[in-house]
Amino acid sequence: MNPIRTTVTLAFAVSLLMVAGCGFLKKEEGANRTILKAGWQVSDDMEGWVAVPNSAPKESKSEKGVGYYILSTHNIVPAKMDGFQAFSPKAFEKLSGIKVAEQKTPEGEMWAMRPAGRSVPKEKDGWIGVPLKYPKVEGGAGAILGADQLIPKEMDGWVAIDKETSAKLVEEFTLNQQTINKRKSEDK
Amino acid sequence: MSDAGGSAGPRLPQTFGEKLSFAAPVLLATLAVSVLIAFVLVWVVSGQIRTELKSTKDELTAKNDALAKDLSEEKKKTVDLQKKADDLAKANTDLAAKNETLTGDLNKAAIKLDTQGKALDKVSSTLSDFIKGQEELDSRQNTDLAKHDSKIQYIEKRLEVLKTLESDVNSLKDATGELKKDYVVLKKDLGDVSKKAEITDKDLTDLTERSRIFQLRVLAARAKEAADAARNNDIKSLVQKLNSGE
Repeated sequence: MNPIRTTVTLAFAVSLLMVAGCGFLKKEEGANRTILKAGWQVSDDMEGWVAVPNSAPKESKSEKGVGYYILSTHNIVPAKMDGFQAFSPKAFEKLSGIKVAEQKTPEGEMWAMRPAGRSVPKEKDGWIGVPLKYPKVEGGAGAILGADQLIPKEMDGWVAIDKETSAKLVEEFTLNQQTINKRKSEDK
Repeated sequence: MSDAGGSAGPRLPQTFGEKLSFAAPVLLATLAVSVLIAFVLVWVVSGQIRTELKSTKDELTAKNDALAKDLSEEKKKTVDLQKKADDLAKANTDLAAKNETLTGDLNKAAIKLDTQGKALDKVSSTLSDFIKGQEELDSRQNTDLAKHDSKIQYIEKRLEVLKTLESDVNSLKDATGELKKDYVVLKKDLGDVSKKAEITDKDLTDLTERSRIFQLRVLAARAKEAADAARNNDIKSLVQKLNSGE
């Protein structure tokens, strides 16, 4: 047996295996999402996921120093916003007195990642693939966000805040409302 | 002998009779021609006159017809005008009759209005007297009861406020033991003071202060609870609170 020939054959086999292994999309470490790469294939555990263009909620700050995020259709909730509270613009205005501009994000395309083994088209390169999960809306005006959830169309323009900001705003809101109610009852 | 030879040419008429016989044909022919010419002339002139007369007659006939037509139209117009005049006269008569009726009604209405106005004045006057009497009565009563009533009313108002707070106090989840206890004590004190025969200003001041402080404590406790609910992601109750505008 020729050692040179054997080495070359083995190197070819190993490189072939490596190429084949890299051909499947992989989840990001510690997250339930993947970044699409053109030509790569949908793996079994991602079958049924959807992919959307990479976009994140826009961060903003009010004049009073209240930090919040504006959600848009097909935003993917980033890990740092896991557990954030989202409110409709009307509810948020009532809670904080901050009026946010109305958003009319056009409904973008979603790419269904099925069946397993399907190759990612060139134009979808860089998109983010996630399981098709939306936040649960309560009373038509609020929702708790979870990491890697997809923002649906009906939550376009909603405002997301962290728990502590929410607690402060709610405390102020309750005090103000009760003071108003107290005054009203005293006026009677 | 020479007389016989000298008479060879045509023999000229010697007598008047001969002469007339000789010229008669010429005279007759001349006369006939003259008559003929005169007849022709008369015939031509008479023809022209007839033509002119006919033309004149036709013209006059046409004018006569036109005049007759105009006359007929004028007659028709006159008839129409007469009819309209009759209609207007009739309408005028009707209007006059209606006007008369309305004048009658207006007079009746004026009489009724006058009567009602007098009645209204009477009612108004009676009402004014009644209001005046009532005000006087109220004034007397108020003067008599003012001091004591105002104090009791004030305490009752405090009690009402406390009553509205009762549900708030009972609905609080955390650290409500002390608040509940204070609520019972404050309510009891308010009730006791309101039953006192003589309520002093000090009583009122103390109770007012205690009520206010208690209200503030409840208010703060509720706000704290709401904030804790928000920290615990109790989005459902938060949305309910926002929707109800509580």
